Amino acid sequence: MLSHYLILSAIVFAIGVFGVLLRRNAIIVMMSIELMLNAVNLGFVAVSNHLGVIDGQIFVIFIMAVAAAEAAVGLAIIIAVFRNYYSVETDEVSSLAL
Amino acid sequence: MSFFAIILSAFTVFTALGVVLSRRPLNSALWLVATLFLVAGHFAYLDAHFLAVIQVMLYAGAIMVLVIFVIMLLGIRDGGEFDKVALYKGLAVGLVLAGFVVIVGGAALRELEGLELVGSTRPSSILTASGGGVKQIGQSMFTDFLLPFELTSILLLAAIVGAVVLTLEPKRLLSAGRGLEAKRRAAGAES
Repeated sequence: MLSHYLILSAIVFAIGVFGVLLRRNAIIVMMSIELMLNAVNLGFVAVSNHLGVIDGQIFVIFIMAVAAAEAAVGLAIIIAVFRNYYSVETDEVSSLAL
Repeated sequence: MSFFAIILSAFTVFTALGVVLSRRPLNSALWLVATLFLVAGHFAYLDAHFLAVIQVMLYAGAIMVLVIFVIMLLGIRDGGEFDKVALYKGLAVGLVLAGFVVIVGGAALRELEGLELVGSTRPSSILTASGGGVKQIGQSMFTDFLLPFELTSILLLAAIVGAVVLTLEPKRLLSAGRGLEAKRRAAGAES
């Protein structure tokens, strides 16, 4: 049971890393990051269930809060970048100055 | 290992691949919504009922609405193509990640089945029969995890302020800066 879920978690995390490295659209990169966060959440809940301790589930709630904050700031950055470059392709945004 | 969990896992991997491999960002977002629902299903299967609800309401609801809203706002139809270099790069990365999964999986299969708690645990953190419900999570969060909980509020406040500042119109940002500059000058003139 636990090993099944840890393997699933590793696979989903790997797919997320794959997306971050392969895609150049900033929004898809962000969604891949969400995928990785979800993989970690799955691992936390699986271990929490296996050990019979609730701490893992509390951690998942905090991770969700961080993910919400990350999505808000990340999408704001994407909008700011789009205003200046008219594109969200990460290849075309090579300057740090706005 | 139940049949249900295996089917759920297969669907999860499939939809996760859909997120990464669809060409259009909107399709990616919809695949991600499906993945989040399936992860909520896993949570429910693992007796984390409250998390399953939160996952649907907060992740598949709030966060994904935000993402789809931005995709619609910016009108991005095309997510960019995979050119050959990216494809080779992707194959290499895929091989490395497959290795990672095999290593983690092997370790998980061999070592972790006998994983047990070591040392003393706080009695409040032991899952009860209705574990994963609102009651125990609330008790744990507002006693053992009170400080991190309060710190989360600061994080969220910073995120709100950051999002507002980043999306200000450049003109208004400039004028806000000028206002500060004028204030500073006035303060300098007074003193």
